[in-house]
Amino acid sequence: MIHRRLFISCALCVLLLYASLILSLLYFFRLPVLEQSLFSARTLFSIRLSLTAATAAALLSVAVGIPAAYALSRYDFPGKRWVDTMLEFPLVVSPAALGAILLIFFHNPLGSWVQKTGVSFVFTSYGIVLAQFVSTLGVATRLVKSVMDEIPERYEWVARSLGASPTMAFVTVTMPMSKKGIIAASILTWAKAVGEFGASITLGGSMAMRTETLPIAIFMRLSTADIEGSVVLILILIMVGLLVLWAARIFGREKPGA
Amino acid sequence: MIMGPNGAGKTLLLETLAGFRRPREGEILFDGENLLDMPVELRHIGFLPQDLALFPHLTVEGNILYGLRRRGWEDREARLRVSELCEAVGIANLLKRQTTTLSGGEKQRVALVRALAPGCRLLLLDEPFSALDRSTRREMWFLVKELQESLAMTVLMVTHDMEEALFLGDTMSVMIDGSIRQTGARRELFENPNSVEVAQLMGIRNLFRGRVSRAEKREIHVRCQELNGTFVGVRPLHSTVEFVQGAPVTLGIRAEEVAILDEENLNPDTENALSGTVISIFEKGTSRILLFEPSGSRSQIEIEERVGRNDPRAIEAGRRVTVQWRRESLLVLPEPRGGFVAFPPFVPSRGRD
Repeated sequence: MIHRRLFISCALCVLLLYASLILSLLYFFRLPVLEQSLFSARTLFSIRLSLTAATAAALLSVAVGIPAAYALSRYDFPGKRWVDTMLEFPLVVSPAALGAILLIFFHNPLGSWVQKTGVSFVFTSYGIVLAQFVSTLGVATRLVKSVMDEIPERYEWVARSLGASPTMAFVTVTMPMSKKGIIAASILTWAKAVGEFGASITLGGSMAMRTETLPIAIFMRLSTADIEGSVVLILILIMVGLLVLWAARIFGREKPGA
Repeated sequence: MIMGPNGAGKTLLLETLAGFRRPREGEILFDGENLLDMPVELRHIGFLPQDLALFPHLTVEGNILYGLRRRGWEDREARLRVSELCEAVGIANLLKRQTTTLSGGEKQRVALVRALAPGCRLLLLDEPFSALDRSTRREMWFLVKELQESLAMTVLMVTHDMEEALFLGDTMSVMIDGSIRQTGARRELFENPNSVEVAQLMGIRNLFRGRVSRAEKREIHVRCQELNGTFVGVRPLHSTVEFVQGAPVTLGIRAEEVAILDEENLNPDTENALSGTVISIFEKGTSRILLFEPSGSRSQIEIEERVGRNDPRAIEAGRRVTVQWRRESLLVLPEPRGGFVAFPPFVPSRGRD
């Protein structure tokens, strides 16, 4: 009985910690500030940029992550262990360091050439997308790999014995079977991209109406001691985040009777 | 049919034949064709894994249509084929169901039809019925036999169940520790296992060490210390082992081949006879297992006798009897590789008399 109570208490402590931090924001919450912020062009731009950049970055991460995860799950190849280890690279280096690495890259000869002849990333919204993509690619691959590890290779073998090529077996069997897990992984990747700050501000900068995402806008408000402004933006970010988490739970849940 | 204990390599063999695994060396010949470098999808070999691997995201119909669509069947013809096969197997009413809602027997049937529908020249079955209850398993045996005959198809099945192997296997191989130990007609393997390991798999539990005391052209005399006697067996026809005097051998005798004689009629010179005591009796439905201890020996012989209920001839525990077996029933086997591992005496979970 003590064991049960202790473990439940720990779970409730988690809720208590996060809920109390969120509720503490209300001390500085001002409704007029919310109204002003919510309909200001600058805030709306930040929301739009956060949503579109995160969506683009998450889509790219998952598009690359799915085949990468499949290879890690199913195949043996030279360098596999290195790939597996590097998936956690963005987590190990701090986001600011990741952004700095990207910034430094675009100042070397190759990066400069890309900037001049291809897309410009430094201090542009493309840089925000790139920073978020680099930050989330490892996580997306890791999450999708976990999903595919749960699907026995036997299903693909049976599909192939029934006449499917390896690609057709992947498309018609593996992908449908991992659909829910991939959607949940995509949503979590998107959530991570929305909250990305360090790499985004280092590479993209913090220019209002150009590269100012919601997390960057929060930081900029705080750095000018605009607490009420920060609180409003934080609450907006929390609402977006909670919606996403709720969606992830819905998609990750098994259908009754399955 | 390939029969063998768990861990023998049976599943690995099937997966290699199907093309899922590549052998380090050797070839895979089927109808004179080497399949080694042929992609799985071009081999036209059906595969039924132990857990069936029904696609959970497709209905029963979707599962069965899967192979037909991959092989380029037109939709109308494919659905007709599905309908015919499902009628024949008795699952026509399940077509729109999700596979996750089916019973064990229904899943087996769906998986079988899915494997057969596109047409295959060889069907590989990996212990497909091991999870079924006895009665459903027997139904599936009859179904497989029926389908094999009506579709004129080769089926290669692996199992660790001797009864299943003997029922379904026209030709059998015994696989132990990754190698095929004996191949032949099921009767041949059942009656003439060529080694102790094969004999144990064939259900022979009475195995005793001995030495050849005299080897003649047609018969072998073996002195068995464990049973405190000398016994005569027929020399195996195709054995590669040299049975010379003094050679260590193992004697094997089926429990059902041991006859109980009336002790009063015992002639000391009776061939392959032993007197002793019945130690324990275990009821097994329509038969009984008796544990018999020969005089002057601490070993026990299992005897299986069929008796009717309340049969007045039924022997009770503690009684002194004489047992005997024909020389044709006595197996003379070479000593097992890796030494002899004695089988413990039979002890069922309940029903002890």
